[in-house]
Amino acid sequence: MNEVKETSETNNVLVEVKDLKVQFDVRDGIIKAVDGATFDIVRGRTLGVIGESGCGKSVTARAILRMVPRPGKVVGGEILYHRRIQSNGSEMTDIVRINDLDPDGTEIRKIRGGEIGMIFQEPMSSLTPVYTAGSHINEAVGLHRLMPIRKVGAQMTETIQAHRQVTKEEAREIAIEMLYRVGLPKPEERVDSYPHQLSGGQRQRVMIAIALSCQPKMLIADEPTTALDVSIEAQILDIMRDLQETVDMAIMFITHNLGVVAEMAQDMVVMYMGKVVEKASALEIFYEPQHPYTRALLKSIPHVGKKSQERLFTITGMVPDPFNLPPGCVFHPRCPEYMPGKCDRIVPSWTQVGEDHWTRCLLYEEV
Amino acid sequence: MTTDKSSETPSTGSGQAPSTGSGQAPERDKKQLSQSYWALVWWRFKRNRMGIGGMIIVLISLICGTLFAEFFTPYLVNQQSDYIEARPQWPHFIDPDGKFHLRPFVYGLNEEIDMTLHIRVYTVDTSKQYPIHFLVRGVPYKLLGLIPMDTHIFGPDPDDPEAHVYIFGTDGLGRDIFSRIVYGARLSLLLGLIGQALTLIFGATLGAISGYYGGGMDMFIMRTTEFLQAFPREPILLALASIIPDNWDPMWIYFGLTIVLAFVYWGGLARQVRGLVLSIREREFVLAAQSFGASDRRLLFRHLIPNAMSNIIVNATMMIPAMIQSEAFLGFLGLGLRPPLTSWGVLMNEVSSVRAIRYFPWLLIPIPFILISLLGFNMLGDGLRDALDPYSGR
Amino acid sequence: MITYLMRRLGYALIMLVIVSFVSFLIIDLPPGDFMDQKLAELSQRGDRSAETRIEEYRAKYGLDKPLLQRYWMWASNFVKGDFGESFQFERPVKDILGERLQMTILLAMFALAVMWIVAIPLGVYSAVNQYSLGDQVMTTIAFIGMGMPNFLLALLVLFFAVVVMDADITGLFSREFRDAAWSLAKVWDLLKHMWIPSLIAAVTGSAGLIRIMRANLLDTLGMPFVEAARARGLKNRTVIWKHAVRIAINPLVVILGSEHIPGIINRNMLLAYILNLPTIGPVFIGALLVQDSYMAGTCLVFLIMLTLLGNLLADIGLAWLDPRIRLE
Repeated sequence: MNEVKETSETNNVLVEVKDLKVQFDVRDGIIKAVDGATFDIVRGRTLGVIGESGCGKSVTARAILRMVPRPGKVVGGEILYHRRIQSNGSEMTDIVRINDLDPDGTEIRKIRGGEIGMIFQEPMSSLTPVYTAGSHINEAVGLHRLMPIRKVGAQMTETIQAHRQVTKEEAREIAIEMLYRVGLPKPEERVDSYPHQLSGGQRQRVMIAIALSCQPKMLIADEPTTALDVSIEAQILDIMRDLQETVDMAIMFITHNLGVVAEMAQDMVVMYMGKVVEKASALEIFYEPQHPYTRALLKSIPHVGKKSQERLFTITGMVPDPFNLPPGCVFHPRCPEYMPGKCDRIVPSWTQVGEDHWTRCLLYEEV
Repeated sequence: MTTDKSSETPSTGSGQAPSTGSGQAPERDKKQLSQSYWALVWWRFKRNRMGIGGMIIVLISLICGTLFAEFFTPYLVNQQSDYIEARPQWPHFIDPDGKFHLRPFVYGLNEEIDMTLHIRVYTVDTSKQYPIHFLVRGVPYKLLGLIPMDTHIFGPDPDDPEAHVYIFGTDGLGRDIFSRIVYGARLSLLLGLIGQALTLIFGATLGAISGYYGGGMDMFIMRTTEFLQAFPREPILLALASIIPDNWDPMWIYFGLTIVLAFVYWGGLARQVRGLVLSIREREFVLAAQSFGASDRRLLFRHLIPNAMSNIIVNATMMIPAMIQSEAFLGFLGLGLRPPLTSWGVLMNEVSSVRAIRYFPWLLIPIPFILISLLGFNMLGDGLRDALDPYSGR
Repeated sequence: MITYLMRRLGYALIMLVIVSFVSFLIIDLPPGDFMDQKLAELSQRGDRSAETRIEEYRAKYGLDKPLLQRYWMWASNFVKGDFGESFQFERPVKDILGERLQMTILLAMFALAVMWIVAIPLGVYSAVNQYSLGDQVMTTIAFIGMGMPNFLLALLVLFFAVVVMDADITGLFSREFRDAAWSLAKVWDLLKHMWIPSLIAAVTGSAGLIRIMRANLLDTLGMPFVEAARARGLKNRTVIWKHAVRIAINPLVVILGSEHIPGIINRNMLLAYILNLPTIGPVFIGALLVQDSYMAGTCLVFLIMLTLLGNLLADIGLAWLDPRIRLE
């Protein structure tokens, strides 16, 4: 059941994730891949999602598109997508409950690609080897972009009566245009290239082009530059920032690289073992981190120019066995601020520690 | 395929906590960490029901057929009788009066001549009942060719000269089909195993040499296999098997057939081994051994081949059914093994006419046995493959 | 492209010559020759002049000449389109094969069609619904099917037909239609007979195809581009068929060319022999068994030509389907 509200009431939030819980049922037990993720993605802004491998960030992203792979399933929480629609001349916001949608139904498929796009980590193998860059874009555009059929109505005003699908020529033009915008040289030739004829950086640009050709309101980028050389990475990030400004698109940028996130994100979310442990603006996270894990992460970034005698800082301990989670706060065995008697017994809840700065730590909770 | 869901491989113990593993994980991981490669293989193999099933079938066939055939059959392989092309005598537990007997029995047979079809026909005579005795005294033999014995696992009453138990009927010379099937297993399975062993030795060695030394030798060996593989398999088998003269001593015929089979099949194995060696050759541990000054031969035999061994074993096991099949089809056509030798192929020859199928269909009974043994080897090979190579998918 | 084809053709020709010679040699190796049998036959019938007749035959077919000469004679005629004469039937090999060619191809086409139409969807279903009941059943059936040699299966089927149903399933036509002209009724008769051998021939093939399709598709479904396609809003069906299966099916095309095309004669030989079908298989086997040299030799050469052709088609097909392979 979608809720429709007046636009002003809902400010600029695009996607709300509320206390999301995703479980994987495997032979040896249940893995809580995501265990309480809460954050918002705001129109036109970039949210950085940071965390180690296996902390649940990719699963969260896929949950937003209702694409959690088997044997996983969403077992709690909500994902709300605020879609802006025109209704009787004024703008309303339709709130779509993503959890309720059929994973293979028309609703979610309209959203996938058309309203929320996604690019992946491995540009090497994220494009189907037998189709050209152009075909990929054609396919996506044919699915999501509708050309309005403008008619001149009785009052001599243009009204949009209906929509039609793009023609082949139009699709090709759009493809070339998009490839140009992502900075591919000679786009009119590249449009007919197969993936294996392109380099890694070029492929990632194609992926971005495909995603953008459908004019989504939001782009989920799941570690898009992790597999690329640093210099190429810089170029891709530049393109993403430019495009974001041009089309006013939100980005959910998932990475484990703090340096990248510092460049790209205005807001940040830190995840550990399936839980969001801190949420704030990027500046606040970097300059006033509150959660011990966030602080430890920041401390472990090697600084050029530091005394060479000092050892690199690491977070002690190891990521716990997912079937054998520690009681209480899941980070406590590795936490430098561990409080015996408290942290090993009580699960911290989501606490506000500043304006728009939230964390999950007993240091800030009245217990 | 009923292998287990989780695609975990037992961790080889790095600094990380295992990412899968149940609550009892610590114990199991300790056990995994300290086990040798082969123990791990066995552990994985045990979990594969299909592989275990296959192994059981193969073991039973080998034990009953190849080793102790004399014990498991009531009659000798070439023991003729007066009951020519007799129909099977199925065991019963309930007699015509409705009484239940614990010891199964068979009905006797009466011989008649069908005047219109000009064949012998046997009818069941319920007045004659021959109980089946177990662990019974019967025709003497030498177990494994050495130990004189005369006990058979089942058979007719030794004290009744009239009693006969042909549970699968008899053939054109009055020989018990059941016994011949079991004896046939001996030769057919043995042929498969020996033939495969020959293929292995020949093919694997050549393949390994080819892959390791490369260059001219590699070219020559590969061209040869390509050439040999261009020939269609069945016709060549046929042609080559025809070369074996009829009048040779049966053991030489057997030997000749093994050579023919090995000759036809070695090419495929050689290519696979070559591929394996090529991929292993470049791996770090080989370079490491080379840097210690290991000789070629040492490298080949102590490093390359053991590592390729697992794949070689799997491939070899999967090829055994092909050999058994080839022998069956050659025998069916009257080539390969011939009487007085008895193999499944020889048994197949006896049903090579529509007349035989129509009037003596029990001569077809060996077929399910052949199929089961083929299936057994396939299952075993599949289980081995899953156990040995964790990356080959499910 | 042209140079590639030329190279393959040249290579194929060389192979053909060598292989045909070796085949000839092998066929000739068993002690004695066809005529010994014929001699025995004629003598049995009480033909007094058997010996001289045999000598005439020998001279006619050149059996008294050395192998090389015979081969040369035959080979040089072969390229002119004269494949020699069959000893058994005393007719030109060309005629005999020509008569049987139609049915051979028909049977093979039927079997191939059954195989692919059955196996591909089942394989896809099996992979997409991995571990479901359907998948496990299918996998078990496929596994069993793979271990069943054609000819044993044919014998069992023959048993059922003859003993249980008292039907005659040998041949491809009922007696009335065998030499009759083509008519709708004859076609129907053919179809009625054709389905059993096609089915038997398709069993092993389908089983193998199902397993390979399943394995390939499972691998492919795990690849990132499948998930990426789904994330663009494509329907599940489209993601699976247009993207995943499209990639997973490539190795099967290779199999189609390299195994199924030569299999037209190769696979179904023994089956046809048992059921006495009017295809090339039975006469090939017959010729091999009695050393009907020219017949056997010709069939073998054609079989090898088919193999080479099949391999070539497989390679071309693969290159056409997979752009990654084209740059050669």
